[in-house]
Amino acid sequence: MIVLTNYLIVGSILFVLGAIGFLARRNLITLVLSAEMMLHGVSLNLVAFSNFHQNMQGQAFTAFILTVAACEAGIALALILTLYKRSKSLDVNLWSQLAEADIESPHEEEPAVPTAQPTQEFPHLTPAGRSPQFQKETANRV
Amino acid sequence: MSELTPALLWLIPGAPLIASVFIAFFGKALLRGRSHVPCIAALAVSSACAGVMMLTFLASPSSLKQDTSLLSSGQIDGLQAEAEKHELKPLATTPGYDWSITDNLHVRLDLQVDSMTALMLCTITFVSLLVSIYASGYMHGDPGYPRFFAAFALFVFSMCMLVLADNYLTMFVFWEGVGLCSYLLIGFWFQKPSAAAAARKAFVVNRIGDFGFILGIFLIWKTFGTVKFSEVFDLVPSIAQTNPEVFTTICLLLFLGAMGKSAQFPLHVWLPDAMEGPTPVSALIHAATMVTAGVYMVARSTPLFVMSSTAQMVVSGIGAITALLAALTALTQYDLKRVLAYSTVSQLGYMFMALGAASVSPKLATFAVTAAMFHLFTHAFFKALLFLGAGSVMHSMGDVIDMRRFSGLRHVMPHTRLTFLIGSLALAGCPLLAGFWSKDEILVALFEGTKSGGHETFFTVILGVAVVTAFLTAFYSFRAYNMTFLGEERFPEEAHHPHESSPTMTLPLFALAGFSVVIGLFLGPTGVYARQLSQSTSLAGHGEHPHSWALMGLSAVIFAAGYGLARWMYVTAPAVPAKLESGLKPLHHLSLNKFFLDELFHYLLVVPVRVLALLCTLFDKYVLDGLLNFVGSMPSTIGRAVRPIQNGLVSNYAWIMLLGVVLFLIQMLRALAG
Amino acid sequence: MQWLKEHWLLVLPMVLGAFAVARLMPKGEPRSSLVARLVGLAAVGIVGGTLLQPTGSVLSDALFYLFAGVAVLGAVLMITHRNPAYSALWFAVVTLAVCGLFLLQSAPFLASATVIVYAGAIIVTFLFVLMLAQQAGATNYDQRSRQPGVAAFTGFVLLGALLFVLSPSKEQAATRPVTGFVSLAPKVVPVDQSSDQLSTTPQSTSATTAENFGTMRGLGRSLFGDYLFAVELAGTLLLVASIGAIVIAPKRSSGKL
Repeated sequence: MIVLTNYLIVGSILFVLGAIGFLARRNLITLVLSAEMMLHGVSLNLVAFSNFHQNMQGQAFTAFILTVAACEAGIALALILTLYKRSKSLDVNLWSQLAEADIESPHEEEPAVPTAQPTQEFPHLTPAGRSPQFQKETANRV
Repeated sequence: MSELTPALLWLIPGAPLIASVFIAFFGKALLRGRSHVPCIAALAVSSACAGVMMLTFLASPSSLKQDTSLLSSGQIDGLQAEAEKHELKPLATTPGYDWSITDNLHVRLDLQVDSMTALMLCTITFVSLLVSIYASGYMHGDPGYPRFFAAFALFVFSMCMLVLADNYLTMFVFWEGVGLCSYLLIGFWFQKPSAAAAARKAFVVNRIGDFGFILGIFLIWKTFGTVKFSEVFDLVPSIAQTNPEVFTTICLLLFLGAMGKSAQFPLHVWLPDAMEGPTPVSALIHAATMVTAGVYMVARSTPLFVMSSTAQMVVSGIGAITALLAALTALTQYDLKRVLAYSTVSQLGYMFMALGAASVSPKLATFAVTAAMFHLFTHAFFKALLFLGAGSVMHSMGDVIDMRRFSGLRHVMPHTRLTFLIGSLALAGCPLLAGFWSKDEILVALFEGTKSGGHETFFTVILGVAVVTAFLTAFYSFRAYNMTFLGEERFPEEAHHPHESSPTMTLPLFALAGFSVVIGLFLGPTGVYARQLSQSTSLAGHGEHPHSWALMGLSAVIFAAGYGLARWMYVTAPAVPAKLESGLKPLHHLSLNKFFLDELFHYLLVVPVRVLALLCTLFDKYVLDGLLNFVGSMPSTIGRAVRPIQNGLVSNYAWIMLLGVVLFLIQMLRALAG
Repeated sequence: MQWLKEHWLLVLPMVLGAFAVARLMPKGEPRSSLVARLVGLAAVGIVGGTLLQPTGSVLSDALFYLFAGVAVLGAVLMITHRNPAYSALWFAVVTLAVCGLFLLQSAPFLASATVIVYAGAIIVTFLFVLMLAQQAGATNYDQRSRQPGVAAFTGFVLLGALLFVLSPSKEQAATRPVTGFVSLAPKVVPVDQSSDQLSTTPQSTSATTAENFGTMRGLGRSLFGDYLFAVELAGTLLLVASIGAIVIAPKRSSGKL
C-alpha cells in the first residue's frame, strides 16, 4: 500500500519552502539553491504519480528535470560569477536597473550586522597552473 | 481710348499693389534707402491713369450720364444685353474674379467706375503721390523705411479697390484692408508703447463700426438678395413698397460702420490717438483719404438713405455733435497734430451734416451729397497740406510738436509758414480758397433743409451748429498758426539747428497749397464738380443747385471774426488767453481733456469688460482648468500608486508572480467547489 | 467563519508554519528564536499527524516518515541559514532525503542519478562558486532577508490551498464524482493493482508495462523508446548550456581570482 497524497504533500511543502526561500533571501547562490529545491518538490510529485500509474512516464520526466536542473545550475553559476565580478557582492538587491526612474532604490545602506561569532574564514582556492607568490610579510611570518 | 481703359483701370490699384509686394520682398535686402522709388513710381502711374480716366469722363457726352458705366456684371443670362450696352459705354468690360460665397450669394470682384469713383480716385492717387514724395524726405533714415513704403503702397491699393468696388461685400473687404494698413502705419513705431496702444485702440474702435457695417450688408443681402450696388439701387422702389421700415435699420447699421471709419462721435476717440503714427500717415490716411471712406460709403448709399429720413437725421445729428465737440476740443489743444486731428474730426462731422440734409427732398439730395463730397475733395487737399506742414515743423523742431515750446518760426521756415498759412486760410474758409466754397455749399444745403421738408426746427439747430463750428474752425486754425509761426522766436532744446525742410518736403507742400487755392474756385462755383458727380449711379441725376449770396457773406464774416479773434488773442494781446483760461477754468478743463470721453469710455466700457474678463479668467483658471487637471491627473495618480511595483527587484517580481498563482489557484478551487 | 471552524486543523499549522519560517529568517539578529523553532516543529507535527495517512506497513511508513521529516526540516534549515555554505550542505541533505523517497517510490535509478548529479556535481559546483565569490566574513545580505513575513505569508497561503486539495475530506469524497484533479484527494491505491483501466491513465507503450515498472530496463526502454527525441534534445541542451556557461563565466584577468 502506498498513499499517493503523502508524497504529494511532501512535494508541495518542499516546493513552497523553496519558493519562500527564493523570495526572502538575498544571496544569489541561496536563491538558486531554493529554485533547485522547488525542482525537487516537482520531481517528487512526478515520481509519485509514476508509481501511482505504474508506468515510466513520470520517471522519464524526472530524468529530464534532472538534465534541465544541471543546465540551469551551470548557467546560473556562470551568471552569478559575472555579476559578482561587476559588483563584488552577491546581493540581489543591487541589480535593480529595471526600476522606474524616479523610484528610490530599495537598496539602502544598512548598518552592518554585529555577528556573534568571529568572522568565518572560507577556504581560498589557489590559482591553478602557477606557483603561489607570497607577500613579503607573509613570507616573513612563514 | 476705350481699348486702353480696362488696363488703365486695373493699373490704378494694381501698380501700388505690385510696388507694395516688391518693396515688402526686396525692400530690406535690395532697396533699403531707395525703397520710396517703386512706391512713388507706382503712385505716379496710378495718378496718371486716374487722370486719363477722369479726362474720358469729362470728354464723354452727358447723354451717357444715365448709363451705369459698369465694367462688368456677373450674370451670364444678361450677357447679350450687356454686350449691347457696352458699345455705348466709354469703358470696356474687364472680367473680374468670381468668389461665390454660397450658392445664392454670387460676388464678383469687378471694378466699377462712375464719376464719384473717378473723382475719389483722382483725389486718392494724387494726394498720396504728393505725400509719398514728402515721406521720402520725412522718413529718411528711419530703420523701417522699406516697411513704411510697403504699407503705404498697400494702403493706396486697398483704398482704390474700396472706391472701385461694385458691391458692398468687396467694399467691406477693402474697408478692412485700409483698416489693417491704418493699424500697421499708426503702430509703425511699435517699439513705442503709446504708438502700439494707439494702433490697438484704432483697430478695436473700428471693429465696433465694422460690426455694424457687416450686419448692414447682411441685412441688405437678406432684403435685396444681392449686394451689388446697381442691383440694390434698382430694387429700392419695389422694396420701399413692401418693407419701408427696413431702410432705417440698414442705413443706421451702415452709418455705424461709417462712424467707426470716419471717426464720428462717440467712435471718434481713436483718431486723435492715431497721430502717434508718422506725420505723412496722418496726412494721407487720417486726414485725406481713409477717414473719408465713411463719407464715401454713405454718399454711395444715397438711394438707400433717402428712403429713411430718420436715419438721415441721425446722420446729421451725429455729424453736428461731432463737429461741435471736436471743434471745442481743438480750441485748447497744444499739440499741433492733435489740433489738426480734431479739426479733421470736426470737418468730417461737417460732411455728415450735409449728407443728412439729403433727406429733406429728393431734389436736394443730389445737391447735399455733392456738397459733402466736394468738401471731402477740398478737405483732402488742404488738410493733407496742413498735416504735412505740421510734419515739416516737427521735423525741424526735433520731433517736438507742443506749440507752447516753440513760436515765431516765420523766419526760420518761410516756405512751410507760407503753405501752412494757405492751408489755414482754406480750412478756416477764407473767401476764394477751397474751404470757403465747399463749406458754403454745406451751409446752403443745410439752409435749404430749414426751408422745406418736415424737420425745419431740427435743421435750424444743425445750421446753427454749423455756423458756430465754422467760427470755431477759423479761430483754432489761426490760433495754431499764430502760436507756431508768429510771436517771438523760440525753439525747444531738442531742435539742434532749426532749418527749413528739404525740397522733397516743401515741393509737395507748394503743390498742395496751389491746389488748395485753385480747386475751390475752378470746380465749385462753376459747377464742374457737381455736374460730374451727378452722373454717379448713386445719385438721382442733375438736381437743383441753389446759391445763396447771403450765406456766402455770412461765412466770410464768420471767417473774419474767427481770424480777428485769434489774431487779437495770440498776437496783439498775448495775455488774454491765460486770463480767459483762469476765468473759465471748468470749461477750459473740459475742452483740454477732450470732454473726458476717454475716461468715460474707460469706466463705462473698458472697466466692466475687464471685470467680466477677470471673472472669466478666474472661472477658467480654477473651475475649468481644475476640472481638466483633475481628470488629467487621474491616470498619473493611478500610475504613481502602482508604480512602486516596478522597483527592479527580481524577488519582488517573483513575489507578484507567486501571488498571481495563489489567487488563480484559490479562485479555481472556489469555482470547482461550486 | 464556518469554513474556518471546519478546517482549523489545516489553517492552524499553516499559520504556525508561516510564523516560524518568518521568524527563523535572518533579520539582523545574531540568533534566531527558540520559540520559532518549537512552533515550526509543532506545525510539521500537526501536518504530519493529520494529513499523512499510514499505509500499514511499518517499515515503509517508518522510512517514509524519516525521509519526509528530514527533507522538510532540511528544507527549512536551508532557506533560513545565515551561511550560504551551510545552506548548500542542507540542500545536500534535502537531496539525499528526496532520493530516499524516490527509492520508496520504486525509482532506484532516479535516486542514484539524483545523488550523483546533485550531491556529486551541482552542490560541489555551488560550493566552488561560493568560495570564489564569497566575501570574507558574514555579509550583510546574508544576515538580512527581504520581507520574510510577506514571503512566508504568500507561500503558506499557496501551501494551504494545495493541502486543502490534498487533505482527506470525507464528505467531499462521498458526494463528488471522482474525476480530474480533485478526485486525487483520498485515493489509496494498492501497488500491485493494474491501473490501466483508469480513465486518467495516459496511453503507454508496450515497453512500459507493469512488469518492467521500476527497473532500469523499463526506464531505459521508456527514455530511448518513447522519449528518444526528447533525450536527444536534452543532450543538446546540456551541450548548449555548457558552452553558454563557458562563454558567460568571467575570464581570468590575472593569476589571483
